This record gives sequence, structure tokens and C-alpha cells, in this order.
Amino acid sequence: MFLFPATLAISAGGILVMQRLLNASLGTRIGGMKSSFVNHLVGTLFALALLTFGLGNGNFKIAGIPIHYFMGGCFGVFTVYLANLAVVRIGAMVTSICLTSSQLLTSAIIDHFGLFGGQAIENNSTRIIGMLLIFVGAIMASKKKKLSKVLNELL
Amino acid sequence: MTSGVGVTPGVDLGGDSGMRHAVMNNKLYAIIGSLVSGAFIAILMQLNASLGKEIGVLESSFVAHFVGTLLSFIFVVKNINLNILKKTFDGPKYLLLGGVFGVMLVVISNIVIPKLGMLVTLSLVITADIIFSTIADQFGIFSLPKFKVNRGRIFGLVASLIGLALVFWR
Repeated sequence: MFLFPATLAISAGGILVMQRLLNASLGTRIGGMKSSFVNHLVGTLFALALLTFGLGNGNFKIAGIPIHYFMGGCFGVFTVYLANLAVVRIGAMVTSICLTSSQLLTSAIIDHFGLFGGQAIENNSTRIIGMLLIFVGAIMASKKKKLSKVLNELL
Repeated sequence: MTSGVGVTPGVDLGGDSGMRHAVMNNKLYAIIGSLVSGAFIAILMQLNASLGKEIGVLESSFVAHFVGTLLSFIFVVKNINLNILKKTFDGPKYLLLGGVFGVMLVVISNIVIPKLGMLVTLSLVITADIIFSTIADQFGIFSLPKFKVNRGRIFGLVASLIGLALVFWR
């Protein structure tokens, strides 16, 4: 039962890497924010094309849906903006350590309380330890070898 | 390395001795900013998934990109011109695929999040991210610089996989 969504999530990880590399490549040509604009525009057109071909579920009713459900796109743009600001000040590595840690923490909080329309999944010690291990692993797997050196620069 | 969105390589401002205080403040703001944007990523994934449950996963992806287009247009409107478009289209055409991948990403996360929850989904994505970035860096795809696999990456990968198993544990 977990297998299908888990496989999908893993493929999402692969797509995320491709997308980030493409973004970085386009960003070095025209700048981060403009590349984000181009991305969103192409995405909108692509999704519109798929919907036109009838790949949606034909239930495009927006009445009665909480307005903040529509704000996902805004958060995405702010994320690009903030990340671009951060990278030039603290470097890509520290930025992604901050991103990863707060992503994991926030998602544990969202799950625990069932925020933003999600189902509540209570945190237990196993989940917390697993989350910490993933975080440690993400730091260790990053490109620069010496974290102590990065922290020295920073503090 | 992992889970940044659209992080572009930039110049290091460095620490000039006279500007020590200002630089530290800058760095503090940058850290807070990137912590906030990490939280934003988790929130936006949940919001898109909740919208997906209401109006359909592809529809939700469309809305997210449409709203994102409008907002990012406000950010770039001052210095957008034909030259930008020319530069975009002059480069390899596959650079435009970022948006296509973005739509697929939102659709997938909209399907997965209601089934597995945010933490499990993100843990899977982050671990897969480490694996695929290691592969991508090894070969330097999309004309980006190469980074060879080192021991740290292998250890990091193993730690994340153990962590992933624990997060999955019910």
C-alpha cells in the first residue's frame, strides 16, 4: 500500500534534482528571479495544455475552498527570492542545511497537528530520531568536506 | 546539495574586517531567511496537496503555477525586456523544461502527501535528492561543474537511508 506512493515520492526526488539543476543553469544566464518567472510561466502553459487535453478530473470548482489553499504558488516565489538572497551571503551549503532542517521540522509540525488541511499523524520518538538522521545525512552528503570550516567562516 | 529551490550559485561577499558587524547581520538575516523559506516549502506542499484533494491534482498544479507566474512577474516587471527572452531562447532549449518538471513535481506531491503525510514524503524526497544529486554531480549534467563522490557523501547517504527507515516505522 505504501509502495506506489513511495515510488512516486522517490521519482519526485529525481525530478527535483533535474529541475534545480536546470534552474541553476538558466539562473546563471538570466538571473534567479527571472528564471523562476520563466519556470512558472512554462509550467502554467504546460499544465493548461494537459488540462485542455482532458487530463484533469473536470472538477474545477473553486467556490467554497479556503482562500489560503490557493497561496501555494506565492510561497514558491518567496522561497526562490529568499534562497537567492541567502546563497550570496552564506553560501549554497549553509543555505541548503537551513532549508533542509526547517523543511523537516515544519513538516513534522504540520503532520503532528494536521495543519493546512492535512491529516494529523502524531510524532513519536522513532520518527524524530529518523528525521534527525536524515538531516545529519543530508549535511554529510553535501559537497564541501569541512563543515567546521564553514561554521568558522559563519560565526 | 539538497532540497533548495532554484538556488543559484553566486558571489561570496566575504568578511571585510571593517564591515564585520554589518556582514554578521547580513548573515543572520540570510540564515533566518533560508529557515523561513524551508518552512514555506513544507507549507506550500501541504497547501497544494489540500487544494488537490478539493479540485484535482493537476488543477492544483495549474493554480500553483499560475499564481506563481503572476507574483514572480511583479518581482521581475521592472527589468524584464526582450533581451531576457532572447537570452532564454538562445541557450539550450531544454533549460525551459524546468517548468514542465515543476508541474510534474506538484502533481506527484499532491498524490503522495495525502497518502503518506508530509514528513514521510519529504524524507523520501530528500533522500532521493541526495542519491540523484550525487549521480548528477558525478557527471556534471546540464553543463554544470562536476563534483566527484567522496566518503562523506556515502556516509551521509547511509545515515539518511537509516533515518528514512525509522521515519517509515509505525
